[in-house]
Amino acid sequence: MKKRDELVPVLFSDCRISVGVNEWPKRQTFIDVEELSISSIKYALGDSSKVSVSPDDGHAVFEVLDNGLCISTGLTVILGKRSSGKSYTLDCINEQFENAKYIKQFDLLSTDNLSDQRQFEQTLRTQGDSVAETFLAPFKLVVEDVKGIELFQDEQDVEKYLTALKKAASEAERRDVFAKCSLFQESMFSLKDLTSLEDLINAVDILLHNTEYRDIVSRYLHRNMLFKLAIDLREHYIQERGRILLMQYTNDIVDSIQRELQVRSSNTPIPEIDFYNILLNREKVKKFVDIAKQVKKKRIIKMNNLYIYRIVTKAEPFKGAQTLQRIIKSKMVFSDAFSKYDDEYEYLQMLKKKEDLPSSEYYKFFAHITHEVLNKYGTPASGGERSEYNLLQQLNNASRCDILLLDEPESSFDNIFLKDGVNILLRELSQNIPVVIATHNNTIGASLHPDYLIYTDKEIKNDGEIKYHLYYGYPSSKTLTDLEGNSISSKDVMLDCLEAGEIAYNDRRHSYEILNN
Amino acid sequence: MKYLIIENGCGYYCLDGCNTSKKSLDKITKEDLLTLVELCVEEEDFEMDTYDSSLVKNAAHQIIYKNIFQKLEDIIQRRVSFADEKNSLYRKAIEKYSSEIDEQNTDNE
Repeated sequence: MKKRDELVPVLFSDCRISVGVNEWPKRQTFIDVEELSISSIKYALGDSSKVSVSPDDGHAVFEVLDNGLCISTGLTVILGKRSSGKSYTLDCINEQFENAKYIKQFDLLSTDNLSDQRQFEQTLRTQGDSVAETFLAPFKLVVEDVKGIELFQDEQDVEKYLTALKKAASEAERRDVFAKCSLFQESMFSLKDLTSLEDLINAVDILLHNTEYRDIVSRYLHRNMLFKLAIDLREHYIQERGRILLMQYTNDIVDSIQRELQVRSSNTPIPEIDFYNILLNREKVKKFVDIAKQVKKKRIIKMNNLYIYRIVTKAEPFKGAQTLQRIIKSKMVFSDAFSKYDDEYEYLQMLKKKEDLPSSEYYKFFAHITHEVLNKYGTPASGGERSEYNLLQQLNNASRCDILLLDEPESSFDNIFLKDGVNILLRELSQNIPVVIATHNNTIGASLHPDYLIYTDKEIKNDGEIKYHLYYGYPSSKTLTDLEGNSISSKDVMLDCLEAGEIAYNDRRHSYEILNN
Repeated sequence: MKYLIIENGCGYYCLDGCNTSKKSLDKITKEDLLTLVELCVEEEDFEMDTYDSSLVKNAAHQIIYKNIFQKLEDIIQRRVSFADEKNSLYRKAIEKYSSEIDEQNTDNE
């Protein structure tokens, strides 16, 4: 029963129905039809989605608009000639839902022209942003740390320090009473950074508190010893913190005294300098350059599959200043910065000089992250393939919505594709959310086997007044009815809209039969 | 190997640890000073003559020697933390970006 392509299995019971029979067999078959007629039963039995063994399966019909229009909880197809109100009806339905997915006509269309290609790349970039961000996250942290380092400034500071030191030395003989005080040129205590000790304490805590792998840890590290280690490290931390606080306090005192002395003295004071930091800055820049070179290397970051398509996210070096411009979408010129692209630290300094470039964006300018959609042959998707990909992508996201509305998808695609791929997808989706498709393509319309049918019609009255009709009903029913009780034949509707009339249909059938012979 | 030397009441420095190439401290340049600082954090056997005001007679040298000596002493005491900090710098980023390339290179082989 689950296999859509196969015939619906039908079991005949030996129950003989006659007047007076009161007991019915326990197992029943349920079919999704409106009227009970031989033709509607035949129609339903031809589509396994309209047959079920329980009354709870299958689809219901519900009122979707204030005017009384109903649609199915499964697949509803809206047929109608041009300008008969199909899109308008979809618009109305869209307004009833907060979380509707509405794919309008031509929304998905992508051609081979350049602007469509760029648009597609932009969409891919937006979708792939989180992949790029995850890849660049560690690098972003590094850039955040390094962007504040000015090696040139550090050198200047050393220069200033040395000049002042030598000057003070030359004034040594002429030191006044203020300059003779030890505190006059005392250096501050350098305050140790306890981050590595904090990290160590956290690591020991993790070893202690993890329950999942406790057995493995206990094989090598006795829990008692770990506890003692945790306590010992903490005691050490408290001691060091205490010392640091004392030194900080002392530094404040030294600083205020020094200022007073230096204000009053005519001798040159010696500025503070932190060589430890200067050394660390140099190491940071060295490592930053190494990491930046690694980040830029050509590599595939991620490959995702979407049916027959593969989305490939790649990293590679930037090829020119123009690609840099597209990262931030601005009029900023990057040719001057790009000339230093291979000297990573200098390149960063050039980026820093751009006043309109926010520093939080610097990390994006080193590795060029691109996204590409490849077809089943492994080549970049063509215009038509991109449209198909767009549709698959949209349908993939639609299951999270309350309803899916599709307006004439055939405008963006050719026929063959529609039969193979999309029909199956749409049927699957309609199992979970209502799907409403407006179409006049016979592949979609008929072969989808909709659960419900709507026909829009524009009637121009004798006095020139225009009246719009909305007929709806089950596809298995012989007629469709509108809100005012008018009805039309559903076969006429199907033939007119999908086959361009009975004559054309017969002609076509005749042509196909000839080809067969 | 000695890098800061007191001799004949004056202060000297040398960049290769031997006595023969020593220079007078009042002539030290910022490049030389930075080199001394780097050596002091890298060289295991970095040595200096301890500052003693009675040994350095030249008043100008006193100021320079005392100041530089204190700064270098400070670095020597923090040598181990410096090595720790340096080795753990950006470790996550380095591991991530070099390992991904290695994996891809082995895949291509």
